[in-house]
Amino acid sequence: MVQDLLSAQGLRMDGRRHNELRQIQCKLGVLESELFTHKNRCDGSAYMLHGNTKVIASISGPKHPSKSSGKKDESFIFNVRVKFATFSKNGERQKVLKNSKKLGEIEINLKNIFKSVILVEKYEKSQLDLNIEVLQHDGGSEICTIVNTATLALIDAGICMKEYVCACTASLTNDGLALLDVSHLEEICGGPTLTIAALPRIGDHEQSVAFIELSQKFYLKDLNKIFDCCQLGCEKIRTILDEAIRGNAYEHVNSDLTSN
Amino acid sequence: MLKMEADKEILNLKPITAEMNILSRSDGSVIITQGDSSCIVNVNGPTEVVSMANMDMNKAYMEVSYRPRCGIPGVNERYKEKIIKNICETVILTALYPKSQINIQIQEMDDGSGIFACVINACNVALLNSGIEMRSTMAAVHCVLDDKDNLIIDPIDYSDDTPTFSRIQKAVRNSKYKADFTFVFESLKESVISVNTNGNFTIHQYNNAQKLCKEASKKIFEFYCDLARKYANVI
Amino acid sequence: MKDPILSNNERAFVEKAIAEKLRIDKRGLNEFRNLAIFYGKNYGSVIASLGETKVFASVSCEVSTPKTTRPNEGTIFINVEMGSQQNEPCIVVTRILERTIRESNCIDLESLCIVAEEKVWNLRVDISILNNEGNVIDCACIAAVSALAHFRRPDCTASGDGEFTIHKSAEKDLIPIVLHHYPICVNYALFEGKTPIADPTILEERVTNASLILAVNAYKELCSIHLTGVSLTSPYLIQKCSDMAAERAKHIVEYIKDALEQDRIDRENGQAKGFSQSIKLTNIPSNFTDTQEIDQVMDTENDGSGELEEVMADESFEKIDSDTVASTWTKEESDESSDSDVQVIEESPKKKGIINVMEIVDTSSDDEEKETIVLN
Repeated sequence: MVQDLLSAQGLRMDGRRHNELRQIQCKLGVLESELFTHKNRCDGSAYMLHGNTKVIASISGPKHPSKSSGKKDESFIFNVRVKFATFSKNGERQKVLKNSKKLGEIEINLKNIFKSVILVEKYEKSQLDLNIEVLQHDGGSEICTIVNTATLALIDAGICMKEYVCACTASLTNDGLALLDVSHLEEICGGPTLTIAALPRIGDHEQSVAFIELSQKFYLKDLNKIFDCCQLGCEKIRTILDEAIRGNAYEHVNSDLTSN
Repeated sequence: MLKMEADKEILNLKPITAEMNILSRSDGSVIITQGDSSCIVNVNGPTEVVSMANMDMNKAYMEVSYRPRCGIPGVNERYKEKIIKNICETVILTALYPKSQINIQIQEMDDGSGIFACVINACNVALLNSGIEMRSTMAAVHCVLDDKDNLIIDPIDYSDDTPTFSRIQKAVRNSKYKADFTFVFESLKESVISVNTNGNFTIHQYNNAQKLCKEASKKIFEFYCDLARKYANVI
Repeated sequence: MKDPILSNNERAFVEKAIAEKLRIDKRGLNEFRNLAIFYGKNYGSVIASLGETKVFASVSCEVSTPKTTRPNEGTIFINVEMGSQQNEPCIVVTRILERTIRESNCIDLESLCIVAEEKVWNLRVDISILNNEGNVIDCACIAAVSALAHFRRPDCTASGDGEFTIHKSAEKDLIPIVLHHYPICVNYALFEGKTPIADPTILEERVTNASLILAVNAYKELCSIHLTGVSLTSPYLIQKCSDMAAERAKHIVEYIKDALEQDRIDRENGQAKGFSQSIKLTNIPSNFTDTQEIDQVMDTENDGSGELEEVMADESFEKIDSDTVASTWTKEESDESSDSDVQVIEESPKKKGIINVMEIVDTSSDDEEKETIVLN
């Protein structure tokens, strides 16, 4: 590790405390949705700004499976497409990643995460497309913002899910203190990064985890600490998502009332 | 010049070892080591034709894929695939499997001298193992012409100076030899079904090499018989 | 090859068995299949087998220019080939291995630098999945790590002003890659998100579709975690699995080191056999019975061809005069009309667990014939 991630005052490089999230702003229904015409438009969408990462997610479906899509034996077809905008990284123009392994991995992971959360049995013989556009991204842990945005979009589209899926990252300082929500700068400075996508609570159950990813090594005994930190982050993100969704719902109801 | 009959020494082949049925997922598989070369071949078929464009109403479609020890397959590998495909189409009774496909996958493991001959022999054993019907068996023999114009059957090269480099930097032929030959014979009439040569040589040398290799190929056919019979005994 | 359809009955059976803590291949829930590692004649080629799953890995290197962001570090590239299988599992395996091997900094990349900002060594690991009987990731990881540990690269000397020479193996000994630690992937299939099964077979993998992969080294450091598939897991489980994985990793690292040491001794004595030694030993399970016994069994079965002797897997070669062998063949060929000459039809069904090995050695003027048959 090149540099210590936490200053003597207990502040991080961007001035946050160890258990503080980056700024999150989100909005539902950012893209025009036409519920009745179904003309190639999306059925639900969401936008999220998380630190320096900006993501738009859109859902189209559930609909009749198109002929070309996927395997025939799968009763529920869930397609995920992730795109990084050419201008997405630090202002540099870069080649659009297409069919790269990293992109492929994100798509596979998203597919698996949401298949375990969506009530699949309700959507038999139908297709759901999730399109993700990363407008700006800040380091490697973009999957976490993508998951959160996709959750919002799915809710906006009215897809039945067991719970919100919230994803969060955490890291560890040299002194063994867990840091919540790692920024790009902190990530490249070394230190392990744990990403989890979790369902904060389902009924009486404890939190359950749909996805875990960890890079770089650390001692096994620290796992608990960093894991708890991540879970805490997920809880926090859930409240933010919940607020946004409820806010959006009120807005809709109010606008409907006034128009009538 | 060479004295084929008198000098038995010259007919020495490198020790061959083989084990069949090493891969549970394939219809026929074999690992063969031949001196410093070794490879794994697995045969699957006859199966459905994957792409309709390859569908042949009269005979089976052969697909060969050759994976080098390291690096991505390039032109060299394509070339070998093509040759192996041609040879296999000669020996397999493809007409018995219309509208179907036979896949041969080759993984090179130790690319010593005569790896190509080793691969062809392995293909033959794997095909035997898979139960695909064949017109005859085939045996490949590698032979080189050194700078003193001596023919050497199946030489062992330990003098490879760059064992670790990727393919790009690897020479096709060992520069200390003038030429190398790989002859493939079939068992029925002991006729040549494929020749692959490199470097320069006279027609006389070529004829000698062929005679020599033909003689040596008998040992390989013997090996096949031995292998097949032992295998049958175990069953 | 396409996978056959998994029937509902099969699925239900496996699930029910697991719920009763039973597995189809009689293993315990935390029991692994037998591991074997074989090194080839070339440095850096390895076959690893875990039960029937077999993976071939080979390492190669070449000189190239470094990345601008890391001017004094070599690079490592991992490529996984899965044969004709679809793309998705291939990507997953590649990424997990990249995370495990590259991102855990187990290789000292700085030692691969020749001239900073100009020339570095690029390593390439080619992994080829030969046979997939489940738990490819464990096997691929073991193969990759042991191939890297086995690999030797040519030595290099840089002479100040950007000039450098690569020494051939005859001039200077090849040197190994510096590995700080050996990260080992341990794969647990998760049934109903709560029952972890060590080293799943392909059937178990297809039934559950969810797995937890932990990469741990011998020092109990976690190098990567990956939870894949459609699953919901409790965090408690991960802790439990990671402890078990650490134990497993320790054993495997020891095994790899032993195998490396054995190979080194063989090479020093000039007896490196390459993959031909794997031919005798693959598939030998832990309950491998004495070869002598097997030999006798074989003898009784082999009444028809008494001329050829069965020889042990030991070094005892049975020498047969070349003439005798030849005569043997002619005799037999006349007996058996269905020999290779006319049409070769292999009617015999494949019987697993039987290995038939034979070897013709004719390095000297008289033929040596050797054969080993192993039943398991």
